[in-house]
Amino acid sequence: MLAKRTMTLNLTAAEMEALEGLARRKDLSKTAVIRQALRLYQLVDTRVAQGEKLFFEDELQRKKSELMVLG
Amino acid sequence: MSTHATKLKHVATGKLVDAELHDSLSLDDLLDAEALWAPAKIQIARELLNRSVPRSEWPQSLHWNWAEKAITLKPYAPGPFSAYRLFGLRAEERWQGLLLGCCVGHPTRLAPVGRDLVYVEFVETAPWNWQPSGIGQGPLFKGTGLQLVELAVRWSEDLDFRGRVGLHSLPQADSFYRGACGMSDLGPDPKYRQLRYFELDESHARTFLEEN
Amino acid sequence: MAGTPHKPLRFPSNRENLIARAIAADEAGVSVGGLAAELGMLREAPGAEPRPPTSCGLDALARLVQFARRDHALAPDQFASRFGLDLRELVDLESARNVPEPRVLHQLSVALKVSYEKLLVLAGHRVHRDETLEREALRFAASSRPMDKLSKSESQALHDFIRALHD
Repeated sequence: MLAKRTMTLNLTAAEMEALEGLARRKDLSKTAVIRQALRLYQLVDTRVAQGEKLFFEDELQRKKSELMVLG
Repeated sequence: MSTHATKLKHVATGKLVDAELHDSLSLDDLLDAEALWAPAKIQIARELLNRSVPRSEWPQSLHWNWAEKAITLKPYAPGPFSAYRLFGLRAEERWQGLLLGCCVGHPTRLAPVGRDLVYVEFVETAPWNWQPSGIGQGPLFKGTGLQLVELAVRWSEDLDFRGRVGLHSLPQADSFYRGACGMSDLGPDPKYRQLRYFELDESHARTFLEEN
Repeated sequence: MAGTPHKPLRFPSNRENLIARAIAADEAGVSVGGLAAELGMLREAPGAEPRPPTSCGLDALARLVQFARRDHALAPDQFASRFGLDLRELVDLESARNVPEPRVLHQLSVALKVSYEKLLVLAGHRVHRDETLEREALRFAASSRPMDKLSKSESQALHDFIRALHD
């Protein structure tokens, strides 16, 4: 059986509000949002570690800007 | 890794055979499957050439070589907090099909727009389960494709994504996703070489899993 | 690269119907191209080549959206918001400026309760000869210029065209 471990996370009121907003918009529980955030962080981290870069692209304005990810 | 017992149909005898759904594989398993499937693909290519089957009728994934791409697959390695998860269906001690899903970075295009879904990056059945045009080969087993899609839908439910799934189909598979899987066809996607994009929304996911 | 633990998926005790459907399904092809596209493994453009839309098809779509919006007595931003479209997408649709994306057409088909497949044909995303649809699209595209309120004949033209867009 996969053992679960518990962690307590202290957030400011503003951070909690942002988390709740994300959960509402994405129709996910707050826990699911945090898990998705960790997956995204790991995905970016893995690919940047391999030498790739992460960009935001605005197709209409034809602009591309790099997201700086600090290792 | 966990497994769940299921069945496939052995076409020649019509009998149901025992099989297993695997819901947590590694890239090693993908490469193991490729090692097994590659000789069968070469054999199919040989038959297609010998019988002068037009190129347009060849299986569209025949030339894919995942072993060659192994280095580039590292970012897609499944793991805790990986965005990727690899599923498989095994029978007679051989991989009969694999599916790689991704749960980050692919928002829904059907209403409600912008929600999370499981995007199917890759799904392949073993070459002996194909029915390539013009060489008289029928599938050894039937039942792999839909059960692999079922794994993606159940993962989506498990993630709180309500069973939503998206994918870009190769043309030879368009009718499978539109028909058997009941997915909505959102048409050719210029960002994916005009491959048609299909999406399963929450309601159709429930129908798919027979929960309606 | 050892397998790493995920929480196992849950399955119902009885999957017999699903297994039966899986076995009955036509699995002539099941391959998808997402990862292959990302890794540059798609050798040729295997997807359906869309044909360029006729100006008549785009004009008919433009007129359909304009008339439908006015029939609902909604301003463009209200119509866009109610039916899940970007305002810019709606403006482009009504001016026949660009070929609308399939996603936009899907939203429109749900909003107006018409055939998504036929909207794809009008926009040129799908190649399908439908003489009735072509004739109705031409007649509708040629109907009178939009005014603030639909006249009786415009209202009739709108409803006739919507009937042609049903499956």
